[in-house]
Amino acid sequence: MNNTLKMVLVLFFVCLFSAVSLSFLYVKTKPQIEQNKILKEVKFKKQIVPLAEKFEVSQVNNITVEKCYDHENNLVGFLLKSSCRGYAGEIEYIISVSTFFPLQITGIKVITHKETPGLGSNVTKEKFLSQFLNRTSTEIILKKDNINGKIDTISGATITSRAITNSVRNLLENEILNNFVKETIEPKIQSPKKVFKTQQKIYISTQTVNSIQEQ
Amino acid sequence: MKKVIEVFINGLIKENPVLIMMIGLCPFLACSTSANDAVGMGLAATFVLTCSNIIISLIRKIVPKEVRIPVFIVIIATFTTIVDYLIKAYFPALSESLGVFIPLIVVNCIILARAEAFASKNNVFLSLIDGLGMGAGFFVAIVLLGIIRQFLGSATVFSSKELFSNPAVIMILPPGGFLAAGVVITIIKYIENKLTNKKPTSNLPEGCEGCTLKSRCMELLNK
Repeated sequence: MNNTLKMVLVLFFVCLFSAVSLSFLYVKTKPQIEQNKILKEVKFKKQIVPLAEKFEVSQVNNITVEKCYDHENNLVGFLLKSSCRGYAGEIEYIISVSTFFPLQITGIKVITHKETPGLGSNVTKEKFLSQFLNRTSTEIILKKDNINGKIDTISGATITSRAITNSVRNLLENEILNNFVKETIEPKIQSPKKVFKTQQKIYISTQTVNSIQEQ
Repeated sequence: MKKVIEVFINGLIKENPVLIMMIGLCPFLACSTSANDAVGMGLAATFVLTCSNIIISLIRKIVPKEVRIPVFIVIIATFTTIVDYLIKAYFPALSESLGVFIPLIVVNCIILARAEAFASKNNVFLSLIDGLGMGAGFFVAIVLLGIIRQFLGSATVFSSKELFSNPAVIMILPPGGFLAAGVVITIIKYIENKLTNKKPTSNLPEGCEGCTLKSRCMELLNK
């Protein structure tokens, strides 16, 4: 009995010390890890919209949309950040889309994923992601799912490829998002009242940018 | 002092975990695609091995025999997670290239083997030296393989400057790992056999000649 109690106590205290020290270190390193993730995102943004210098963040129905302007304040594209459920967890990605209809993808990068190394992890490779470039939503479907599809599946990682392909397609076909893009591109064609409305929206969104920066 | 040097040299050369004992081959093959990754993996594994050796040696007298393996694993896993967090926070590029192999240090059998065979039976200082020695042995082996594979496979060593054109890409793919590791281990075995044949081993049972654990058994027999 005594021996059993000793076994339980030793295991308990070893695990307790381990848990305490790990949670301490987790809290200590978390800000730095988050910082690294943000730096990586900024780097990816530069890569997929090289012309962009100014970003305007707004939330459209749970999707983070960033309008990108170059140094002369011309709209050069939209950055959309989204995530989908892959084989082993969330896959976070950013895409940049064209400023004309039908919406085309001009760049795509995977930020974080937890897929199997060597199989699912190939979603981050150019070979797979470059297939999305200059495609519209009707073409973004796996070749094996639809004859009109233009995306080759990664061998051994059908679930991962299908998840990201379908998620990107749904994002491009999102009606609210399309309306938002339409309003941003063509404010002049609409009636004066509507122009006022869009201006108000832009104003609000810059406010949110400021508030985010203040935080 | 003599004992300290003996323990260190034992880990580095005589019982080199990878090249002589043939344990911990998974990270040896998987993380040697480039010399930089190999250095990162070697240092990470050495850190975990040394720290877990110290802690296990400290608590060796209060841990009941029945639960020693779970206790060792918890300690090793704790240090591995510490390394994982630190690399993620301060060396993001290394964390990207090593990926899942850092968490897999938990199941690196060198570390559990040293905990069981050495740290749980010796004092703290000797366990520290053993951790450093075995870690150095692993480090030397994996960096050696990393340099060979990176040189042949991508024509670079520690930098992005190409030394010659048309490298053999297969050397940085999994088959190249087996090829390079096989050649390195063959050379080491050849040298080892040359050296040990000078001192004939007398009282070994039959079939022990080619065994990798021969030197360990000899020690036990002599006791």
